[in-house]
Amino acid sequence: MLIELKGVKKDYPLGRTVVHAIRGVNLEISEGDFTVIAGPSGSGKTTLLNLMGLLDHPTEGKLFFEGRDVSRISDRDATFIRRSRIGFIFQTFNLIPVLTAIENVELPLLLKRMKRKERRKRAEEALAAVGLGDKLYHKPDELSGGERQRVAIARAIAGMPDIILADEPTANLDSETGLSIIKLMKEMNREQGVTFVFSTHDARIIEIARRKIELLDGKVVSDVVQNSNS
Amino acid sequence: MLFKTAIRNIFKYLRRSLVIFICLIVSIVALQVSDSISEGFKRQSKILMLESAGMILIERKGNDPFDLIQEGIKNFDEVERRIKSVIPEIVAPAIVVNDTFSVNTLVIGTRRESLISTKLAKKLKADAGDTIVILSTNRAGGLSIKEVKIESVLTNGLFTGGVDLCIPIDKMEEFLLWDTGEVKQIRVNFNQYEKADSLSKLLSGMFPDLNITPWNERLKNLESLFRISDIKMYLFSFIVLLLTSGIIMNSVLSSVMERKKDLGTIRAIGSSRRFIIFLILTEVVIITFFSCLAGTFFSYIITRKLMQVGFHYESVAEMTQYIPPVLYPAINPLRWIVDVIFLFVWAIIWSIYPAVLIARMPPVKALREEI
Repeated sequence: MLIELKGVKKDYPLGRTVVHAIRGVNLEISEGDFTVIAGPSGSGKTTLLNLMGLLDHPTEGKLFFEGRDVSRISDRDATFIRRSRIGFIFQTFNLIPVLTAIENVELPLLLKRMKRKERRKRAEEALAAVGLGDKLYHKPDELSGGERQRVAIARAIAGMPDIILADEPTANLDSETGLSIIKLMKEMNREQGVTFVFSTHDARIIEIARRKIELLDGKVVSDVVQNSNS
Repeated sequence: MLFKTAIRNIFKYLRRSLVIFICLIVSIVALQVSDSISEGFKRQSKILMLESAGMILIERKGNDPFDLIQEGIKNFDEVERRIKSVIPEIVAPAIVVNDTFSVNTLVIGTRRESLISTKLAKKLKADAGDTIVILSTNRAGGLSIKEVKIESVLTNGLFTGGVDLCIPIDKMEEFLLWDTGEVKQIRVNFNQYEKADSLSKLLSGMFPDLNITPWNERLKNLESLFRISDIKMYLFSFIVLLLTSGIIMNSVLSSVMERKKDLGTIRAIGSSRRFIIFLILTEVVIITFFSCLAGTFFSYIITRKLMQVGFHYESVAEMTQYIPPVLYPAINPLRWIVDVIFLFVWAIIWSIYPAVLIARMPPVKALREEI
């Protein structure tokens, strides 16, 4: 089991009130999964992904990463796990604007202290894998939305993580581009065995996922394995 | 890549970088130019003191300048002979103190001309070649009148504020009708600074009844004056640095807050807090480095210009002996290097808070707006 959540709750203080973003979620993510977390805005999708990505701590409950309890993990350890085991794809791409496509992809490899030559080779391969082998030296503002998200995917896969967490990766893309991005992710899942967990509320994309977890008001209301049509 | 990213960030956030850059240039120029003015003041005051009061001061032990019945230096001839044996170019160095009137004698190398200061020349409406009459009382209460031909008027800037009449001791003896036994103070003046200590020690051993003080010990008297100058400079520097720190911290803080999302992303994908701090501090170090280079260049230009023009303090200089009438800044490279290092450290110190603040921010918080 890659990630396991047991009775996880997450509360946020909001002025004098407390927002219960996640209300006791039990969940397991296995290696090789291609899972979508669906739900309306405010249902807790982002919070759940943040918890899984060790970007945040649960208020209650237990969170396990490969069997290790990481509910109260230190920032240093969480950083190490994120760096070595987890890839992130963000809704707004979150590429570093001053770096070129290849430098953006190289960045997590640099943080892993990989040698210059090797990380350059890996970054080139990752960008070639997402179809951007000819745009290595373009800066984010010289790329289209779809291309930027491809760079973000390349950045996430370059370090060969165990799991990639993608928070609404298609939200800022047109439907066709969004669909192609999800297909690309699916292809990587199938061919390279990369585990993907992503959130969306796009019905067409939800259909592609093998497993669908539906959230509503911070609770899992359904968790089904479906026959994807792609 | 850290360096490359830092350079690109500097150019991406050019306006803020320029604010820091200009602020640091102004600071370094302010520090270095004020340092040069202070240094010039110290150097000129020191030279004035040494030229007029001598490299070595010899007095009788227990000598009180306000004691009018004090005795002269009995063994003047022997002291003079010993001094000359060590430093032959010194000719008859002495100050002769009368009960009512004093005239300093200074050694002017091997020349034996009568020299007067520009101030005295102005007062007497006399010039080189003129003959002046000096009227004074001698120790015995008698009146002495003597004609002296002015060989030249000192205009080298060192004596312009002085009030000394510079004539050799034998002429002094001649026109004041004194003998060397009435000499109460000997001011030895020469250019070899390094000889002052050894000569003082030699004379001290030979003449235990005399107080023999080299220039560097008497320089302590000037230190209170220098201290006032230093306090003013430190106060000025403190204000400059305080303003600089505020601007630097504010600019770096704005800069990091503006790219909270980028820094949050870097944290999310696995960067340590230290990496973020290094990234921000690298930018500050680069800006500070170039600011210091440019600032030092501007300081040099400004100081050179001021060294030509000078600051005129004639009215103040008249009131005291050791304040130069025209103050010329002087560059002390060591002080300039210290200024640069200090500002470097100062800029980094005040950038640490914004850097740590953003580095300690949980990545989820930095990304929240975007997720």
